[in-house]
Amino acid sequence: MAAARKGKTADSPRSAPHAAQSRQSDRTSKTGFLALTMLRRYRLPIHSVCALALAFYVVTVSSTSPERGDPVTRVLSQSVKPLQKSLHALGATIRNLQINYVAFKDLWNENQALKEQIAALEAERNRLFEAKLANDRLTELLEIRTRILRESVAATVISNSASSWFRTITVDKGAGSGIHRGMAVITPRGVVGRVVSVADDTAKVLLLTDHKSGIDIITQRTRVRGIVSGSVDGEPIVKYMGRNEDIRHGDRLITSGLDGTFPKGLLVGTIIGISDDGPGLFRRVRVSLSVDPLVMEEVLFISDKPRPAYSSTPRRDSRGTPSATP
Amino acid sequence: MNLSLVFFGIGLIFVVLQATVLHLASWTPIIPDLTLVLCVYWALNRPRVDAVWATFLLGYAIDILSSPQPGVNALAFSAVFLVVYLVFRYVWAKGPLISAVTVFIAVWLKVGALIAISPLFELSAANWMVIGDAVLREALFSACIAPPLFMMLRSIQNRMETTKKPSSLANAAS
Repeated sequence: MAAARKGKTADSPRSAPHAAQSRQSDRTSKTGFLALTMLRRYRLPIHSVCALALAFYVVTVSSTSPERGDPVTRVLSQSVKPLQKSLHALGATIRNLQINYVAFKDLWNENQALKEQIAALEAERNRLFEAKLANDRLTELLEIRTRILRESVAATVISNSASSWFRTITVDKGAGSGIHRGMAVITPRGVVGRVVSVADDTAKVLLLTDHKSGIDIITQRTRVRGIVSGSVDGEPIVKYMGRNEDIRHGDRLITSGLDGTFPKGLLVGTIIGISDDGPGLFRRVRVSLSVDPLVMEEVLFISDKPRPAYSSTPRRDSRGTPSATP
Repeated sequence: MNLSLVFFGIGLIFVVLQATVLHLASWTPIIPDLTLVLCVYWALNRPRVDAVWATFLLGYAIDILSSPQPGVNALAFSAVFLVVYLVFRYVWAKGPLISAVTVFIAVWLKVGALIAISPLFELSAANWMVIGDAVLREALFSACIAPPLFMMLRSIQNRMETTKKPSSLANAAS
């Protein structure tokens, strides 16, 4: 035993480096094992943080280069287009049923009220006829200035916004039909909004009811300027109308043409409420828009480029349908 | 069929419904966020790596359909998933009221994330009141719809797991 102990003590100087090496490798493998265990244990939060980082990257890229657009968005918006189209049609049917039911219920009351209104309108009609004659004379004078001939494209609405926080619509025509970012969008009833993004075959329109939109307007009666903008609760307002300005309930608002996007004189809406609790020196003015974005079916895109004066054939888009002109 | 794939498919249907039928049939501009309710259910009842990425993709799908700036909803949804997973899972007790409360808070979290990531909202006192009112309405709608939706998702999950079990037991026996 003593010999063995001696032999062991004799061997120990040589085996010491080996033992230290094996201890080191044990420690390394333990650390590795621990790291793997931790990674496995917290893999879900780690993946969540990766997803957040990717989303943040997408936001950063999209906000720094909005013109380019990403290919994923383009491909996905193309693929869901047929589904959107059919469901939008279904939704429109439901909406119409709802509207018809309410209309039927109120029909009789409305009929009585309308009979009274007819009598009042007869008198109003005579007054307006006089005003029309005056207006015709003035229109002839203004015709040269107001005749703004621009290129335009007609499109059909295929989807509304999926979120309560953004008021947008998607239409079935895109860059292939000559639509580009920033184009004005109108209907025969008035202004709708402007284009915010374009794919090859679809385009997204930021509605006037969105809180990020704004359009330069004047009141038709007194030519007071302001900005019509949407709000988060979907009720449009006019900003920057001073407390001393001559505005009334029922005043019609038209585009001023000063923003360079919308031609002058397009109907935007009517003032339905004025209160003095606005910020600073301004009033709080509520507006009823002339166009209801929920029942819209066709819209017209107006380019900032002038229409060729002597074009014998109408311009055709990628589908072969002729472009409309306002 | 994989349950995560089924949930993802349901999520996509919710996104399209929010973009079309629900929006048109609603009497108010504020609509309940069905997709967020699904993501909250997922984070509470089946938190996995594929759920994290599916939540991200559902948020991104909403961005594609409605947001002028891609990525904001993807970020908000991912943030809600992470918070629900880290916080609410540990105080989770089953019941319709609890699910409604969780979804109510989740909507506030989502809008908080949206406000944090993009300059969507003007910073005046009047607007904050309007925003608060709109968030409250969306949160209430979503909370009201959460219990039946949770029940539906729970039944789908149970059905798929019970159909999966016999085959796995047979494999173990062989």
